[in-house]
Amino acid sequence: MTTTTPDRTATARATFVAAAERRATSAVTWNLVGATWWIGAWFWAIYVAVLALQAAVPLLGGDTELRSAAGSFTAPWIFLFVMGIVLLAQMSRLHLVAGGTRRTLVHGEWRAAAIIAVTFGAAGWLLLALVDLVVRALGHDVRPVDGILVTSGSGTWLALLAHVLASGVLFTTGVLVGHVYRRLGGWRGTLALPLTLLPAAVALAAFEVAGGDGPLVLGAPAWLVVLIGGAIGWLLAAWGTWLVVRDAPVE
Amino acid sequence: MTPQPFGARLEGVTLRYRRDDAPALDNLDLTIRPGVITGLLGRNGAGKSTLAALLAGWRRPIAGRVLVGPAGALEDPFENTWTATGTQLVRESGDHWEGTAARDTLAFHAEVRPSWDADLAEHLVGLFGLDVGTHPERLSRGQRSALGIVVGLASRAPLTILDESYLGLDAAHRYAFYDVLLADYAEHPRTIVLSSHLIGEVERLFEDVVILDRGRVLLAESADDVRGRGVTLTGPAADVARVAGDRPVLARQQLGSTTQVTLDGALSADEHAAARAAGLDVGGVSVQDLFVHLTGGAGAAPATEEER
Amino acid sequence: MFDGPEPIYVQIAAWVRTQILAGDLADGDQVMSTTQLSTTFRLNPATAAKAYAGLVDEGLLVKRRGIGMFVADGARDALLAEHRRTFYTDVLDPALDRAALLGIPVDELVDHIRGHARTTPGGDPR
Repeated sequence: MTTTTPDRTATARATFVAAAERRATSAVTWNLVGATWWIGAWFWAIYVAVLALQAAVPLLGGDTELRSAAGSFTAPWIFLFVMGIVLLAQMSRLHLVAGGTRRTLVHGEWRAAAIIAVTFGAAGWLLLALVDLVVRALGHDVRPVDGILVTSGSGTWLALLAHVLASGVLFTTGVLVGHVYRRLGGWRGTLALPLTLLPAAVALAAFEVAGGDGPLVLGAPAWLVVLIGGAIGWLLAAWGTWLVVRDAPVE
Repeated sequence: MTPQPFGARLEGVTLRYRRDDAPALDNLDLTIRPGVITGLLGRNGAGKSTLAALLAGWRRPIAGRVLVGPAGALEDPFENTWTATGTQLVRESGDHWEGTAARDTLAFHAEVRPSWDADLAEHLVGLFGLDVGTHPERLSRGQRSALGIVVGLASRAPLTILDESYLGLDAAHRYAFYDVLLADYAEHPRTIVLSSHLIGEVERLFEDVVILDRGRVLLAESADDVRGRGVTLTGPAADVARVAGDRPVLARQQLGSTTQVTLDGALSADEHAAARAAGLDVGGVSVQDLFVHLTGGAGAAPATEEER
Repeated sequence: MFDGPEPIYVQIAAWVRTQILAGDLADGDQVMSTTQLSTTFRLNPATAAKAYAGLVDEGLLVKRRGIGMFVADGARDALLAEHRRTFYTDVLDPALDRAALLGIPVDELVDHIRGHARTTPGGDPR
């Protein structure tokens, strides 16, 4: 380094730093995605079994109307929320010990959230669509429970959008909650929950509005309400994570 | 590019963990030379781990400046990819990835560290008989320490800080660690900061020694200078007393009619000649003995260090 | 090894000198590298290097770039000459002072020297 000209040194350093940040960010991203899907495989196996049971029991009882998987369609979201808390508790310190920075940690989390949102959201939506398909093929009706989350008719693409956004918001909110607990400790972390759960609340409230029977805000279409509510919740959680992590000490 | 060893400088650094606590580091000034093995010594709570955390950019001081980097290009290490990539801190706790196999911890380091040496990691895993299929939290203390050592050495970081990280190893593995540390240091020169309670065991590894006490630097100099700070005289009690005169005594031992005293400060040429004429054995002082004395350990003579 | 009270580099240098003097290291022989010294005796490589630097300054070792460190030509003779020069002041005089302190008569000392020389290989019995 000392033998090169200042110009070349600066360039070499910029290249080195950029490569290091790419490496650190991608390590976080792919380890989070990998761990979520690794444990997620167990989750999906149990989830499918529960869905099948939910569908089968009323059918055997002679019911002609099915409630689809309405009771448990949020299960993947809750799973992602918990994974966000648990995985980040484990990975934050490791990442800094390995020479990463808080910035690359948070960037990695953001990217992981996006990948997990798309894959988990699509998987959850696909599974519900499949259940509906099977139920209909057997000659039964599927009663819509929450307007936006049924998978039939005009709501299909809206349901996919909602699933993807909810997965991203819930995972990122979990990450935020986990970081706040790490930073503030058990007591203050719990006291902060009303604030740290806000992003998820915003998104879920928007979904509720969009799927409800009441009048929509300013006459906006349901998909726009879902999109805006989900985006606001997601951004809040992502921004909150950066605020909490950017100057956090390693304990 | 081959990374150059990192040096470090702290200027007037103060850090408190809570507002009302006594400072963990108190207006501390210190230089750590690049490419040197430095022993970082101090009693519990002296500030060793805090100093290590500052160097690694894990914390920020509330006052003063921390600077890390290759000679002539030192920078603030907080949120600094350039210095973070070149700094490896391993604590006794290990900071491993829990809930998954130990090999995943190593794989994560390998992904992030540009200078990671997978062959060395594999060699060390074999050397310590480490079961990388087990979750770190289920490993024995010794095995967790070994995992930390693998991380510390295989990262080949220009600034490697091992904070008590080998205390959990048994004696055989500790000596294996010292050997592999020296061999790898010779081949890949870098800055190494070792903190340990087992001073007697590691003091010959040090080129420089830093002793912290209550958040301040008590001493920072070459290990040879530390050993030259005191002198031991051994021989008949009367002769020893005559040569020692009224010099401050750091430690005294009596074995039958033979007395050994450790004196503060080196002997002058005249004193040296007098000691030899009296048939006394003249020797240096070990870092361990000096450390115990300076930090007010058990059995130390009345301290005369206040003027320092 | 090197557990004595003097600075470690001084002990290492003394050890190398002893080896040269005893003929274990002949002129032109390669000595251990500082890395070998460091790992063999678990000490800082800089300490080993400092010991060798002193020996190079004294002309007992020579460094050949890229190859290693070797015993200089005439190192043993130089050491022998030096030891002869300082033998009386450094070794014998303190012993004689001690003998005088203990009241040992000179005749007894001379007898002892004769007797010791007789039992020492290469000693001169006269």
